Formats: sequence, C-alpha cells, structure tokens
Amino acid sequence: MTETDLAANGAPVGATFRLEGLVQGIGVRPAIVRLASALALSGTVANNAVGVDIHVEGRPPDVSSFADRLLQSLPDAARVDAVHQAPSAITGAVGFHLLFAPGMDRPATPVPHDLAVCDACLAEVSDSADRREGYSFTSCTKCGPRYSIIRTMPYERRDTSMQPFALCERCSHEDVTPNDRRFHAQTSACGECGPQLRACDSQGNPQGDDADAIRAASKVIHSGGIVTLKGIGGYQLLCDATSGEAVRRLRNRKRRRSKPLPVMLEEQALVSPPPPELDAFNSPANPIVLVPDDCVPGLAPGVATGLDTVGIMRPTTPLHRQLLQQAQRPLVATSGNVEGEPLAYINAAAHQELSPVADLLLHHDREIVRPIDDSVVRIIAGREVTIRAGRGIAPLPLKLHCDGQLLAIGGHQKVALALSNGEQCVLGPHIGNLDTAPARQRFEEQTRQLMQLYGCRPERIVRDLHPDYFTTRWAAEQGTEQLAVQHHHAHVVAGMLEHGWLDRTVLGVAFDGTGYGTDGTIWGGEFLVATAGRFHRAASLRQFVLPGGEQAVRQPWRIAVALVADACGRDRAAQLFKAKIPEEQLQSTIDVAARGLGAQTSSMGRLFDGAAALILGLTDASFEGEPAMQLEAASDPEADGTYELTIDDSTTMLRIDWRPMIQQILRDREAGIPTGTMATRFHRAVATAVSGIAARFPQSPVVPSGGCFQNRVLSEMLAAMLEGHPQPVGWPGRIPPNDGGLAAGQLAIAAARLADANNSERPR
Amino acid sequence: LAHGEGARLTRRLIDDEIRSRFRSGPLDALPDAAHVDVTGNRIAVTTDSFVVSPLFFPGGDIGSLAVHGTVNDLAVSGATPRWITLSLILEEGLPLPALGRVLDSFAAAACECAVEVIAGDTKVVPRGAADGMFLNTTGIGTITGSPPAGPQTIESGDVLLVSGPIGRHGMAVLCAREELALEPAPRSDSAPLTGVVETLLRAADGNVRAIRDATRGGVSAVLHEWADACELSFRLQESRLPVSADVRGASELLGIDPLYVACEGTLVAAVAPGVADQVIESLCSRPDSSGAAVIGSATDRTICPVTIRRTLGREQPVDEPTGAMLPRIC
Ligand SMILES: [Fe+3]
Ligand SMILES: [Mg+2]
Ligand SMILES: [Zn+2]
Ligand SMILES: [Zn+2]
Repeated sequence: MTETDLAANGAPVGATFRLEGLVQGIGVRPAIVRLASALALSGTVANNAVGVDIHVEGRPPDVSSFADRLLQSLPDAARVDAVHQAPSAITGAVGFHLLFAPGMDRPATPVPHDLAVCDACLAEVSDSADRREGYSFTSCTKCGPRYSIIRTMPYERRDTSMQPFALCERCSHEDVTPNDRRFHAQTSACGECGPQLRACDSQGNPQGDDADAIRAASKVIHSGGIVTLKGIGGYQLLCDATSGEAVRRLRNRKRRRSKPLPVMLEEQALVSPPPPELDAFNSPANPIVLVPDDCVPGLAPGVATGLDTVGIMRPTTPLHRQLLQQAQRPLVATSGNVEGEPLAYINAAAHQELSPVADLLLHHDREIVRPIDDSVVRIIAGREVTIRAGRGIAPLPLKLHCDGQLLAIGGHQKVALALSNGEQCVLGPHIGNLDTAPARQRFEEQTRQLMQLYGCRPERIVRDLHPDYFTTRWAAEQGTEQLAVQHHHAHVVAGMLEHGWLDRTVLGVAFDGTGYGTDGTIWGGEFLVATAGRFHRAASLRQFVLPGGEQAVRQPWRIAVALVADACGRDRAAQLFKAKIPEEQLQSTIDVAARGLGAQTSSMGRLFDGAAALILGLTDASFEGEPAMQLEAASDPEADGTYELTIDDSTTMLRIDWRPMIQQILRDREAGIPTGTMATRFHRAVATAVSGIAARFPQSPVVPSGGCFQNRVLSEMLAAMLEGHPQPVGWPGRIPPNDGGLAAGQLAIAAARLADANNSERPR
Repeated sequence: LAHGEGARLTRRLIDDEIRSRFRSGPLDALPDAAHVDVTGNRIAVTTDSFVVSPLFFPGGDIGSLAVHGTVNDLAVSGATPRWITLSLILEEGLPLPALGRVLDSFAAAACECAVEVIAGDTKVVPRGAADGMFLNTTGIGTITGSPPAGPQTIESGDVLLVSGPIGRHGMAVLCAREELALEPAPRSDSAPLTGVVETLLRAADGNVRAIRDATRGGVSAVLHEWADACELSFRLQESRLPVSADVRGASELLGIDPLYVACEGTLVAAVAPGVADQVIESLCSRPDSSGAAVIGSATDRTICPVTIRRTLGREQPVDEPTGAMLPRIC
C-alpha cells in the first residue's frame, strides 16, 4: 500500500509530476490548471527546460484522481515521452497557479511548432455574433504561430513578438478563466488589442485596414493581379489559380519558369482526394500536400506544367480563410520571394523586394522573429514523406542522443541545419539553396538564430566532404573543429535515424543528384553497407561524364548524348535531338563527353535526367529534378516490361551497367513504343536493380535515401518488390530523403564517431 | 632530339639552335651569368615557368607566351621590362623543328617587347620526364615612374576595369588540347601589356590602386586575392563583362565561366571612381586595349568576396573553386 492510500481521507498530501516530450506551446499547462481546479487541488504548473513540472496538494483521493486523469486531460497535440511522479511535502499553497518559467539556457524540451488555425477559431471568425468576427489573427491554445514568433525558450508570451500587444480587458478575462479556450493562450488577441492588418499598393499608398484590406486584396485577385501577404512564417504571393493569365504574370514577375506552384484551397474544393493525403492536408502542421492533379479541377495549366500532381494547402490563418471565401476559387500561394532569393519576412524589406512583384501588399504588425517556409509532404508507399521541412514540421526533434554540442550544416542546396545542444537534437527548418549572395546571408543569420534558440555553442561543426560547397567554406572560417561527412553516408544515416536503426548495419541505397565521393568523383547511385559511424561502398552505378559539368544539369540532352555515345557509339549519339540541337553543337558535345570534360559521375539522378531526355525528348531543365519529375508523371501504370540494368560483379564493388538499358530505350524509340511505357520500363529497371542488389545482402535492412526516393513510382515499385525479401525496409518519413535531411544524418554520424572515440579512449 | 649522348651533342644543340637566335644584343651569346648596367637604383625581378600543352595554340606558342608572361608580370608591377633569361628543359624526342619554331617565336616576342635575352640554360631530360618542353624565365625591369600602391589601398566605390575580352588564353589552350573543333576556335590573347599599363597609368594620373594580369584562375582569382588584401567585396555586372564570341561559345559548351579562365594579354585594374571614364577612353583608343571596359566596383565587405549580377538580376557569388569545377547541384 502506498503512503497516499494510507493517508486516505486524512491530512492533505502532496505530489509532483514531471511531463517530458512535446508539452509546451499547445495548451498543456492550461489543461492542467483546469484539471487541478476541477479537483479543488492547490499547487503550481510551470514549463521548464525538459517539459512541464507540476506540484499538487490536497485530499488524497483528489490527488489520486489527478494522477489518473492527467494524461487524458492533455490536448491532442501533446506527445508525452515520460511521466515522473513522486510524493512531495505540503507547502500550504492556496489555489492552483501557472508559474512563468525562468529563461532557459539550453532547452531540452521541443520548441513548439506553428499550427494552422483550428475549427473553433474559424467558427468564431465567421460568426457575426462573435467579438472576433473577421479578425485575421484569431488563435487559441490549440492554434496559431509558435516557432516563428519565439525569441527565447520557454514559450511564454513575454518572450515572443506578441509581447507588445497588451491584452484588452476582455482578452485578459479569458486569459485567467480556466474554462476558457484561451486560458493562458500565449497568442491570444482580438481586434481591439492584437495585431492589425494593413494593405498598401506597390507605391506604398495605404489601401485600407482589416476588412477593407481583405476586400482590396480580393479585388486585386479577381482582376488577375498578384497579392503578397505576410503569413505566419514569411510573405506569400497569391493569385487566382484558375486564371492562366494571372499565373503567367506571377511566374514572370517572380522569375519562376516552370517549377510547380502550390495552391491554397478549402477541402470542399477537392474531388475525391485519397484519405492519407486528406489527413495530411487537414493536419495542424498545414503542409503543402502533393495530390493527383485530378483532385483539383479547374486549375490553370501553368500551375504545375508537365506534372500529374499538384501541391495543395488548406488556409493557414483566418486571414487566408477570408481571402479564399471572397475569392471563391483556389489561390496560388507560393513563398514571397524572387526566385533564388530568401523568403521575405520583414515588412520594410518585403515591401522593397516584393512591390515589383505584387499589385497589393498585405502587411501586419506582428513581427516574424524566425522566418520559416511552408512545408511540403507527399504520400509515398503509404507513408507521409517530408519533401521540405518547414512550418509545422521543423524544428524536428531527432531521436538521437549526444552529450556534446554539435552543429551540422548540410550541403549546398535545400540546406537545413541540425544541432545538438547537449540536451536534445533537432533538424532545423529548410533554409534553401546557397547559390545567391542574399541566400548565404540568410544562411548565416539562420544559423546564428537557431544556435541562440537552443543555446548551442558547438564544439564541432559537421559538414559535407565537397570542397566547394558554401557550407564547407563557411565551416573553415568559424575557428571551430570540423568533422567532414560523406554526402551519401549522411543520406543513409538520416534514414537509419528515422527508424531508430543507429545501432544496426544496413544496406543504404543513396540515389540523388550529386554528392562528393571519397575518391574525388561525383557519386549519386550508391549502395553503402553502413553503420552510424562508417560505411563501405558495396555497389554503384557505372560512371558516365556530365559534359560541361553543371551545364549538363540544366541541359539534360547533354547527358543523353554522353550515355548514348558510350552505349551505342558516337554515330548513334549524333542522330539524337534532330531539329532541336544544332548538329555542330551535338558533335562538339560528343567530343566533350569523349574527352571526359565535365565530371565523372555515378549519379542515379543524372541517369534519370538522361533517360528523361531520351524518352521524352526533353532538352532543357529549368530546375534540378524537373526531368525526373516529368518522367515520373509520364509513366503509365498499366504498362508492362522493363529494361535491363545489369549487375557487373567482376570487381569487389558491384557496378550497375546502364548500357544495355540505353540500347533498349533507343530500340523502343525506333519501334514507336509510347513514352508512358518507356517511362514505366525505366522506373521498373531501376527498382529491379535495387531489389537485385538487396537480395545479395539478405541480412541487412534496406534504407532507401536521397532525392530520387521522392519519386513515388520508383518507391512503390521497389516497395512491392522488396515485400518478398527477408530484411526490413526503412522508407523515408519525417526526415526529408533529399538534401534537406542531410544535416540530420551528419549529426548522427558525428555523434556516433564521438561516442566511438570516447569509448576507445577509456582505459580498460 | 636525343638525350644522353654526351656533352658534344648538347653543345651542338645549344650552338646551332639556341645561341644563333640570340646574337643580336650587346651580349654575344647566352652566358651562365649576365652582367647588366642598371640605371636608377630600383629594379624589379620576376621569375616564371611555362608548361603548356599543346606547345602551339591559336594565337601563340610556348615561346611567345613565356616572353609575354614575364614581361606582363613586370609591367603590371609598374616596371619597364628590360632583360629576360631563358632556361629550357627539353624532352628527349622533341622534334627539332618544333624547338626551332618556339625559339624563333621567343626571340621575336622579346624583340617586340624590347627586352634583351641575357642568359640561358638547357637541359635534356628522358622521355616522359617532361611534356615536350618546359621554359623557365627570369625577367628584370627598371622602375622609373611611381608604381600602383597595391590592392590593399583599394577603397569602397573604386572602379574595376579590364583591358579587353577575358578568358581567351585559357580557353584557346583548352580547346586546342582537347582538339575540339569549334567554329570560331578561341584564340589566345597572349600579348605584351607594357604599352597598355603605360597608358593606364598616365590616364589615371596617380589614381590607380592596383593592376594585375589575370593569368591563372582568371579575373576571379585576381579579385579574390584583392578582396582579401583590402577586406572589401567586389560586385561585377555580367552585362558589362567583355567576352568574345569564340570564348562565349566554348564557355557554354564546356560549362566554364570565362571569369575563371586565364588571360595572357589582358589586365584587371582598380582605379578611383573619378578617373574611370578617362582611363577607359584612353585605353579604348589603343588597338591592344580597344575592348577595355568597366566591369564592376568595390563595396563594403559582405559574406561573398566577389559577386556578379547576372542578366536576370540575380546577385550570384563568384566562388573560388578549389580544384576542378565540380557540380554542386544535388
Ligand atoms: Fe544529396
Ligand atoms: Mg607569372
Ligand atoms: Zn484555435
Ligand atoms: Zn483583446
């Protein structure tokens, strides 16, 4: 029998509880106050570095039922990893109080995510009897901005950019009423006391506030114009997604040629969306979800050219909802920047950058402390896979233990940081490609900001092996010890981390565009037998030349020419792309390839480029990955047959030879086989090769990683083939399979190596 | 050309092929040590080795290149080139006519640049120990006027200019080496810069901060070095960069930006903003710098030492590759 039971009906008893996990910023403390008050218990609840601390005292049966009901009384979004309960002394406290936490140096608790507006708040906003009717910044304990407004942890209003907005009388009342939805809601606000919306034209002339501002914006959208709006994580550009002209205008002004544009819409606008996609669409993380394009009828063709998917997102805030209601149609909602520049998030700078793009600008006066892009997810083989970890997903807590403080800085494109502050490990939000000067500035700013938020003072910087990545240069200038990690090893370990397989030896399949190999060539079609700390290259794609280096990525016809020249001879290569590429240019490119001018690569991503050029007759790509996306979109699910990727095992490292496949593609072209069939055969050939290699490593779990596994056709074919294999398969999930997840893998590798080093240093 | 057949053969080689070509100066031949009269009390000395494959390329050969390279190093430092030495390392099997052509070309270039060839040396090495031939030179010049103060004196707002189209030498050599049949084939800009530097210094009237011949690593390498020296950044404008049609074609084919490609008769200079117009005007009036252009300016230091504004409006970093340019697109 416990002490509590012995004291039943006797003198008051005390107890403490500590909740660890995702328990801050989502209304956990208010829920606890409600429970304690309902049971007439006294005590306190407070956030701290590891989670939430609770002290209760009162009649023993009440304390027991508090313990019993604690977990089920928490909000749905809470994720409790551990509960520590202990009896404690009585303090004689009167009433139950929510205490403000002291600032924390190195938080161990997850930083709360920005959450899309909840149904209850949406109902208030459209209720003419409600005092928040039409108020764009309505939020509650279950929804609203978090990460993007936090200056320091723990999450308290006074340490967010809501601090300047003093609660009005009625909001204050809600704030202290335990049964109110907004009891201690840090982002609570109303039209009287909260942030205000303001519209202005591109010259900076005011065009109305609040409801007038929204009306002005709708007018612009209706007339085919472009509106930019300060959302949660940064500015967004909006226009009518059903108007080809509006979409064209947006593309021209944003300088975005053909990269797909995401669309914001209400659930009702969808036609039979698949349930897993719909779940992702409705989740509070509010990502852009890739769905089959026939789920969204009526879109202008320029929204996602040449693809069979479109990215959709539900309204993030009451402001978005109101705009959608007035527009009565889906809206393009893409990040507020000119292509290549970082996301705009500061009013003045955004006005300067976006006034040439937008006809009307919707600003508000709540500061965005931490810019964060919209997230992108895709359902692949039944799993929700992060394509871009941004708002609602990042910072992503990693199930990784590391005593030291580390900063991992990713690669060169789709850069995101990962860090360990000694208390927790996280993958930070997507920062972007580091190809422009402003993007590099943003990288530096974001690095400083993330380290500040987590109190991280890294002892080591973990970087890629590539000598010319900006992150590599940057690391060299920091005066901190560095640890270099091979690109594809990082991809594989990111996948191991996803599944908690850091203690296992796996067969990593790393298929991506390019990464620097340990032999100085460019890798990208790799099979690595890997542990968290080490790897060896078990198999790889036969090498080919990228004629003209990066130029070949922009002009995939060059890759096709190099592949064909190697597989079928230069005469055959010279007959390609008739009428598209001048004869002379073709000849000199064949020379360039024969001379090996460019880079030697074993990249699967580049093989996709070359195959797409051959099968679809593509010559140019306006963004990396476009040819592969188009090839995937072109593939015909009904088509049969495959091509032959042979496995050459005459050397210790297996080589996958693509030459027979290239010959077969040319034969199919001549035979007039439909492109959809050829595309399917190509995907099937790649999946078969992976499955064939996997069969040679029956003991090792398979970990597919790298950007190529964003390809649903490839992944699902492979998943079906691997079903008959004895080993488990660790498909990508929360951690992006592309370079956005690189830093997570780098961090895990560094942690493993440091742990190894510490173990070997220990005396026997 | 044979090697290892004793001193007699080598001496004949030197007498017949080498000495005979350099008998025009005050010195009768090429001694092991030269004695020269130096007027004034400051001299400039430079040394350089030339390794180029192929030995002959459109626009020049290793002989003229050695003279121009040496003379230009002196000229951009503000010296008047006066004397040059020549050391030859020859691979066994090198055809004598090729050697003869290179030496003729060396002699002609020296004459054109008004430098005397005053000392020399010859070694023949076994097959495979050298690629045809290597040349080593030392150049000596005298300093009369006041040379540019150096890149550390560059200030924010200073103007960058080049004396002509960039990247021509490196592209010509690369295309010749790889036997790429390009129409038009890139042609090296190998040429002396002595006159161009004189004109530049005169027109700028003491307002030149730094001059450099943009050899290995091209304009980009010079600017990165300068950016470190003056702790500023440089912003270039793609639309203003002079690039010849032959180089542009090769550059697109090979995916190599002309900014990274060597010049051998084109200089980069940083001048005070006030004199830029008159400098460009004077340079453009010379046939050997008629393509001179302002290409950008110095700004306060940012995260990127050198950037270029591309035609589409993007401010793109000009990175300094560590080795071969490897793709970074993943
Ligand atoms: Fe990658
Ligand atoms: Mg030199
Ligand atoms: Zn809400
Ligand atoms: Zn209020």
